[in-house]
Amino acid sequence: MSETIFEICDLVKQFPALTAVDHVSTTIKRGEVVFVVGPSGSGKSTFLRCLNMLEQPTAGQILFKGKDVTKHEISLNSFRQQVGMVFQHFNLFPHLTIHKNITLAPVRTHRLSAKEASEKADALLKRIGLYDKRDAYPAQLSGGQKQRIAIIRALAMNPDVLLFDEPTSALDPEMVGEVLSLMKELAQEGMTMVVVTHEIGFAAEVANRVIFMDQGKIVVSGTPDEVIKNSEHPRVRDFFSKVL
Amino acid sequence: MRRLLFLMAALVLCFCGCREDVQQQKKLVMATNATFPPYEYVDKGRIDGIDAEIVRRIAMRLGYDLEIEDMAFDAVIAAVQTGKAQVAASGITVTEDRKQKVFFTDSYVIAAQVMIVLKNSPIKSAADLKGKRIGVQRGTTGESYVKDNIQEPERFQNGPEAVTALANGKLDVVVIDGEPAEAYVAKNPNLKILPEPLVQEEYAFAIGKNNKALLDKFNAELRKMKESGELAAIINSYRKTRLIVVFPANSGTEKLYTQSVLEQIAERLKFKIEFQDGNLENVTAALNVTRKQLIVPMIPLTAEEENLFPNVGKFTAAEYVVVVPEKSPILKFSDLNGKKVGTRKGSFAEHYLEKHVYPPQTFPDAATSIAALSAGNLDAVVIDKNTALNLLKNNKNLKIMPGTFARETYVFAAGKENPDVLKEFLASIKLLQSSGELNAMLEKAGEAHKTPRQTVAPVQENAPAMTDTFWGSIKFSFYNNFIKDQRYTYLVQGFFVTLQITVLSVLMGIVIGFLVAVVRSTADITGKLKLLDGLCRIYLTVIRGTPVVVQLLIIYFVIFGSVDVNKVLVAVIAFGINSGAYVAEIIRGGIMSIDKGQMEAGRSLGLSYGQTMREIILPQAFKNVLPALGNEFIVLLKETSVAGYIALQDLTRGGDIIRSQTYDAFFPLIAVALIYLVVVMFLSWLLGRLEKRLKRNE
Repeated sequence: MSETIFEICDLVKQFPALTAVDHVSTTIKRGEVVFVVGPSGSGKSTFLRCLNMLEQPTAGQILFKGKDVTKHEISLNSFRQQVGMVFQHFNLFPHLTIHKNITLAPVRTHRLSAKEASEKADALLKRIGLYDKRDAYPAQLSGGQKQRIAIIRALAMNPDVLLFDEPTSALDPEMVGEVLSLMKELAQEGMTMVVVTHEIGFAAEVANRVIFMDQGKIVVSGTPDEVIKNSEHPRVRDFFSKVL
Repeated sequence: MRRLLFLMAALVLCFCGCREDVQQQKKLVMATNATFPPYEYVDKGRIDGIDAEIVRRIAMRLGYDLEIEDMAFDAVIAAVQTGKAQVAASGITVTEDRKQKVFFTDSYVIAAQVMIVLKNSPIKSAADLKGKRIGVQRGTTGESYVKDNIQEPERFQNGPEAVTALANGKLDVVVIDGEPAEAYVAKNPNLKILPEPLVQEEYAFAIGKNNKALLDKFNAELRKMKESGELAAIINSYRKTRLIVVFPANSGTEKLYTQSVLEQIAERLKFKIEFQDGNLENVTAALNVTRKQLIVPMIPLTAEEENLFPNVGKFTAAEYVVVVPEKSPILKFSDLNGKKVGTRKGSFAEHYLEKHVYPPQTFPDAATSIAALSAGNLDAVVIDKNTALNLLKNNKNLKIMPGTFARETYVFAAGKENPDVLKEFLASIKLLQSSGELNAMLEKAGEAHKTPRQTVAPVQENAPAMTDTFWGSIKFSFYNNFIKDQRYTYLVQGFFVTLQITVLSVLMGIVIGFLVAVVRSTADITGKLKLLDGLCRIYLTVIRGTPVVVQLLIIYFVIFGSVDVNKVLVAVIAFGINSGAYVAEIIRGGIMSIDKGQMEAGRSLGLSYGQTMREIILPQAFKNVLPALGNEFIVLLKETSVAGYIALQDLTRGGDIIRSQTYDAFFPLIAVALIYLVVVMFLSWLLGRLEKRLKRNE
């Protein structure tokens, strides 16, 4: 089997009022497309945010390519440069042009020279058909366009893995398609992806593996067929019967 | 940002530089309140007066570089106590209270506190003061005397302000030192000084208790100056008799001639001279006080009017005669009408003929006009008698007509207590006449008149006359407040000081504000920097919880209490620190208003906290808070108007100085307000444009 990207052991994240992630352990390998699904408040977003340390875990280990990133001696910045993140609300930088949005991080973190970053940004923009928006500002784009820009902004860093936090939840229905098809393309190219989503149909189509979370715990984990269609677990069956 | 830091560094360097100066050169700082003529006053932008002159000479002899600091009177004693100044010289009266705080030198003058009242005031003597509205200058003996012996007085920052209040009917009486009182009253004909002084007092210089050595040196020098008569000479030279020349409102070209003659006389006899436009009433009013001054009314007076003056002396500078050929048909002066009359250009005779007969032909000098007469080109020549007698010695064909054609006569009037002033003056001017000096002056006056005299006395020439019409009095007031003595320069210089303080403190405020805002928000977002955050909170609480004037005074008198430091720098530090607190909270608000997704997006891309702050959060925050920041700077610009508290001559203080000279509140205050308004409007416009530019990408 291929290289292990993430190895998560007994991950716990406690907030003052609740335990959002409760002893979660799993492994994500290179090239895997893992979808995390579950009811609202099940802790799936918090779990995802722990993966790039946007949330500081309360206990447990996260090994990224063999190194424990919860330890202080690890450089968080260089770790995060290898882990891309796509947010529900895009979080583009409104005061910068699209081109600058994409090139800022690669240049500032010295992963690419200004020239390389610029060329790479242009290539990515052409690929998603938004090259004409190169010098526009985020406010001039539609939601779907913004989210696709956010995805290639993460891609421009050449990450080992992309994390998606409900990437289509804030979109108007007619714009969901363009984002999903870009994600599908990336999945088919072998990008390692961890996706938190409510798009169960899309998960069934694209995922290698689906994790069902509830109350901070992994309830079941397996192929889409196993989890979505044929789970024996009553809570899982109940959930999918409502959303499908 | 880097440029700002550089600026700060420059400020700090400048500050260190100032300190070094003190140590290397022997500098003597004299604290004074320059609104107290003749002891100290601002003349053409420089502090002059009896105190300044005595201290200047002593400082020179002791080998010091003298620096004079102008401040409020109640601050001068504090200045020597704290060591900001080594000597206070401000017409300070020796009192027991003050002796507790500072050393006094031997007294150099004995002066009186007098009462100024309106002309028609029912107050006749000190006995009438009880229950009246009494104005005093804060920190003066007048204040403590009135408080201890009569009642609580109303206190004013300086003498002119109290006198202005009196003139405007807000007070019944002003108690103030005698000599400045005379100067104040001289400028305001509705006021008078009561003949009997309220109390006598001694003036001396104050020196810090820790500086006995300097005290001894000062006393030694003062003693020497007293013995040699130098001290009396200095004081007398500042108490020069004033020659007040009053011209009628419609005076013609002869005014220039007369001015020139009297200016020369005044200069020669070491008098001060002032020119006024006005009517006879002003003239008599000015005489009713016991002042060392002579009034020269150039207004024709009837015998009855002359009787109004208790002491009048007439002086004829020259008599003019008519020279005609031996067999001339001109037999009496009225025959001159319609004839060709010649005279010396620019002479009194020219003006006289122009006014009373008809315009004469003029010649560069008397001899040429006589030659023209001999040659038959003229029918008559009018020249002064002495010159005529001289020129006709060798000319048998010409004769002098009997009688005096015109007299160049000046009337001098003195107050009723001062007949001696008039006598002395008339005696000395007669000496000038017999020595021939006066004649030379008359000729020179004519010479000066030939070339435009703009350079000599432009101010008087263009002065609009004070008239009774509404526009006339406005015009006069405008002229008096801004044009006369170039008073507008107080506003111009003040404006630049205000701008300098504002711009530099805005820069300092931004730097402090940014740093504090970043520390505070970093502590809020990441939970780090707790110690720094605590310090910042204390800074914000203290600065926002106390008035800026108090902060300014604390920085000047306490923090820089014993250091000599540029006052603009003090103001910049005070206003910069003050503004920084407000800017910090504005910017912090801006930072907190940015969606936290922006920070997460930056961090998730592997940017550091600092990079994200700089590249992503702060630019957006800055744009959001720009209107609030702009507002803060407008507030700051106006707040700098309190810089006058540490005697900085900013715009507001510039207006105050004009008010203290003209006793007129309207124009100086309105002008100051307008200047602030225009600058604020300009700033608002500029900010509007900047906002628009930053909004382009939304």
